[in-house]
Amino acid sequence: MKTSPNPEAEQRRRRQTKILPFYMQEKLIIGFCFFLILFLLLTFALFQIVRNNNEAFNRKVLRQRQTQYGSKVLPAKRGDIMDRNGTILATSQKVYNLIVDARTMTSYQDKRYEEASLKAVEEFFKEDAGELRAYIAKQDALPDGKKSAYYKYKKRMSYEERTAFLDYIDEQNKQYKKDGKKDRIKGLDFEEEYRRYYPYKNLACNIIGFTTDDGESGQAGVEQFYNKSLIGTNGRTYGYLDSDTKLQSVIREATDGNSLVTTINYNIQRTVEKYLQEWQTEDVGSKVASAIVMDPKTGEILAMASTKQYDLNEPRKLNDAEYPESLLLELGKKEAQIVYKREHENKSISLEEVGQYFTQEELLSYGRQAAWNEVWRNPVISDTYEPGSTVKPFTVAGALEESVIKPKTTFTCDGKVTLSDGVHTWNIRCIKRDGHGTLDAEQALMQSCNVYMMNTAFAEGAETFVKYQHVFGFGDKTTVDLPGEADTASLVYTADTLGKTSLATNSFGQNFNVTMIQMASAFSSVINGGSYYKPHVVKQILNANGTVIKDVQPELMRVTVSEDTSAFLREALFQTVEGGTGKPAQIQGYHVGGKTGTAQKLPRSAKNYLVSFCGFAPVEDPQLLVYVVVDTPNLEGEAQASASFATKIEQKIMNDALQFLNIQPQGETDPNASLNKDLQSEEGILGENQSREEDENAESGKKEGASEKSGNNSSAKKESSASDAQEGKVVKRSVDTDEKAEDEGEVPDELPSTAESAESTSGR
Amino acid sequence: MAGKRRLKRFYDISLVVMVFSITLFGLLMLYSASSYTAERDNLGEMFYLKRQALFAGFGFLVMLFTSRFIDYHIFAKLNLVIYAIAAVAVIVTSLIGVASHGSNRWIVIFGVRFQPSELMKPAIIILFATLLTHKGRKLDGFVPMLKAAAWALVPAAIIAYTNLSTAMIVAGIAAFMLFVAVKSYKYHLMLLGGGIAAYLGAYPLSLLLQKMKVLHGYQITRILAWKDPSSYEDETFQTLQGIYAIGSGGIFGRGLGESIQKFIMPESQNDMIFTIICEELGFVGGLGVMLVYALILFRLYEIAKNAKDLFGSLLVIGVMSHIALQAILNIAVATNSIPNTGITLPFISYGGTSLVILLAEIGICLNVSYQTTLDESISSEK
Repeated sequence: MKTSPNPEAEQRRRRQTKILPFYMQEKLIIGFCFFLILFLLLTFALFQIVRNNNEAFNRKVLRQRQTQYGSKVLPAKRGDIMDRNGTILATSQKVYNLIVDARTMTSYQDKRYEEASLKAVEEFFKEDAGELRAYIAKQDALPDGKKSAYYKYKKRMSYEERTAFLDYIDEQNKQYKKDGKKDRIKGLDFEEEYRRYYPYKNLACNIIGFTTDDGESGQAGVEQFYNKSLIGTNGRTYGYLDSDTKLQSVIREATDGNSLVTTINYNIQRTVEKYLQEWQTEDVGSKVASAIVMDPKTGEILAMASTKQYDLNEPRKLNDAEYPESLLLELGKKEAQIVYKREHENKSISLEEVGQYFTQEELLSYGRQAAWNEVWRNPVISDTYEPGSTVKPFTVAGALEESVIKPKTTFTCDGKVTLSDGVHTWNIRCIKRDGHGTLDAEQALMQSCNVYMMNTAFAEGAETFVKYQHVFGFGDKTTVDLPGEADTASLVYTADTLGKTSLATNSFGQNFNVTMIQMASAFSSVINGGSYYKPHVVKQILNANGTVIKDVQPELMRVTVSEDTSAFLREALFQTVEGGTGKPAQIQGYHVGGKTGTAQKLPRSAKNYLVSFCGFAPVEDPQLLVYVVVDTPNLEGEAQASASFATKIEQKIMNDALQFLNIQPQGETDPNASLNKDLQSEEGILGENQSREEDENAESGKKEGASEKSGNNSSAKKESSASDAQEGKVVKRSVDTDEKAEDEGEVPDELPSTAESAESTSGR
Repeated sequence: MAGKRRLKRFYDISLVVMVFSITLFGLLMLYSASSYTAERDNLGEMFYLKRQALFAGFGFLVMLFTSRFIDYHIFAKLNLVIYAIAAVAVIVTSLIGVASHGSNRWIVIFGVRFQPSELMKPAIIILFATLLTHKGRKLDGFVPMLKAAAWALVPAAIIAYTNLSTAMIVAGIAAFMLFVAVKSYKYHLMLLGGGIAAYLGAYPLSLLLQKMKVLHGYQITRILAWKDPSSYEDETFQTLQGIYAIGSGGIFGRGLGESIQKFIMPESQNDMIFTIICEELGFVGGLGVMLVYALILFRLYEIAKNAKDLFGSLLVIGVMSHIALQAILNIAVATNSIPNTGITLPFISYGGTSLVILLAEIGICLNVSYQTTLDESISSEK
């Protein structure tokens, strides 16, 4: 390359002529070497970094990168909860959060994205974005690497809002481009999320339950019990490093949760809630009233409700009237006492002292917690009570099974049983002070005679009696698929502890505690031929595509009684309604059986009562069981003790439920009691269950008016039938099933023969 | 003038090849480092590559044209004019420049962003080459040397206000050219001693200066952050990430295009591109790049030694010091051997002005080599 033909000579000559003086050549070499030395030093520095820190830095780099990459979660949709016909009771809606990416928005010094984007937010949402401006200004001041790309500015926007905003951005950006401006709207993005939504607000609140805000965890009801099945698996986009330490991006799709088809019948559930509220707000009312509707042949729960309801969409919203601050404070103080005791080795403090250890805020917070627990409590499965006379069929059934008595066995009731241990004497009275006289088993049930039951129990003995309590499931959990079932194991006697007085009182349903779910399940078994099915609220589990992945079959837990005993009880309980204590439960055209219950609550001196009625229909082939418990009616003392409060509610529920299920009547029904009578347009729609949410709201006013009217009508009818019975003009309904249809064809014609029938006719 | 006998021409093809190679390599690395950022900002992943390639193409045309058709002696006549233009541009920029990177470094001419301080580098080279050709041997005392140095130190001071690194390069070029041209060693030995002392004492001194508030805020923080990265996490983010890149690259690197740090480091295609090279190609790749610079310097050394007159030699020496200083300072920053200053890696870093000017300088050197002949009768203007 050095093109000179004789380089040595040339060099020599240049040195001589000193074009580049010699000293300069020397210094040039020194300078060149100086640079080379610096390069060598840098090579050494480079090598040091590589040698000392290769592994450590490699890990650091990979970790940094992975955390940057792997942060995005693809949310799974929580499964729906439906009624048995597919009506959506709980669902998850996709909502959108507006995310501000400050890193992108502030990426230019001339604020070409910043101003346009902030302006867009202000103009589109028509609001002052001062907070956002402050945030962006703060981010702008940070160095590039420290800026955040994630700031949740708006939560839970609907799909429509999101689309509108995106369109607006597009439009504005096009305009900027057209105007030749560099301004662009950038750094505004949407993130998907699911929000739990309950279209019917408080409908079936105790069965459905609710979830935490993020929809990750169910807090009550089916939402809690079937949480694992409902949640699904969140997806993720993440990066991982393969064997060549190359970063691979992976998208793992979310698996949506399974949906539940419950056994609830939307229509019946609504009806139950309607009549309970009616009782609570327009009638006498009570501390609490609850009801459960069950299919006795499968253990499926068709409806379950109480007068305490809450809006599932806002489970933490407390009614100010129901829970004023003073009450919250009171509840909070009690809770705080417990908390203090737990945290300070069982040292107790008095209610007055609580204020010294806890702030007002803390007490209110405890109070709210306690209030929520009260509101969310499901009385049907969590509350225990003394059931009263509704257990008498079990006393009789157990004795019949063991052949201790025969259906025709008679005992004579003189109004009381006297027991003595030699020192004390107890008189345990019958409900009728002057006695029922001589009764057989059927009559005893019809008249609800305590003396007959006590004598039966004495004949049976404590051991057998306790055995049958457990056969019917008292003292054991039903294992219903809902959270919070009360444990009644310690609330019943064992054979050893059951003394004669306790045996006596237990025989008619006092001195031991049950839950409503236990009662309903046991009652079902007694009338369905003896099969005790596990009560349950979930019928099917569907995967996200709607394919059935689990079909819940009725689970037979044990056989309680024989078919003969069951048949006897069906007949006896039918007679109880026809001619005994359960008369208000009669429904024209249907054969209804059932048993009343009136239990005195503890403390007995307070003279508070819990009244109940457990009814079923049709008697020949029971398809519905309705159990209503009214706890402490809003009346004084003995006036509470009328089972008819519960019976009337049960009658209304049964009447509507029979029609919803299109159960064939045994005779001609009363047109006045028909659901279609004057609700044709509204209730008619309920036949198909889907998507009538809007109608719901629009017509609720009208419907309420209508149902009120129908309520009046049916009560008018009942009064007439009750008075019929009193005057001994009971319209005989043949139990012999064969001729029933013809016989009952006559019934409507005979009805208007009483004085009250005028009123009844006018109501028609 | 030159060249009746073609055979005796000395056109340094090897230098052209080397410069061409390193520029192409630079484009490749630039594409790797910048594609993610460009894509993310919706510019299209080739955005930075296309721009840089345009400048490179233009730069090569300038280089080849200069090397063949512009006699370098014309710069001896124009030296003051070029210097004046550069000085005015620098002053104007510091007054009205477009804001960028925290300080004013740019002006826009016909829609192209232009960094005038870059122009100061060739201006200083030309000015000093002229100056030292005339008085090189007479500049033996301290005062005359200082007088000559003032030509560079004054504009350097102005540039330093906004761009310390360019000012350092400008002063460094002047110092190196003075070193070669002046007979005495002692002043430069003193300067070297002073430099080493400054290198060692910079940190304690900055602590002091910080209290006295003499230097610009962001510059002093850079020095403080250099030795104490953990307390200045925001400022050292880039430096730390750069060292992670070098360290994680190991001896042979992750492989071309496999850098991970480019996703994290902002503007990795600029000053910190050497760290991406080390991450992707490893220690070996970094060493290779330095070797190519050394070879280019060696070619320039050869041209300077053989130039047909002192002015030509001094021009080439100036260019040589420019490239050497810039490459060394950039790599020193990348390895955190010196505090972080914004110095680009010659021929490789993203930046149109810098690339075109460097290639033009190489063009001048090639012209010097082109005019080197053995024919005594044609040479020597001296």
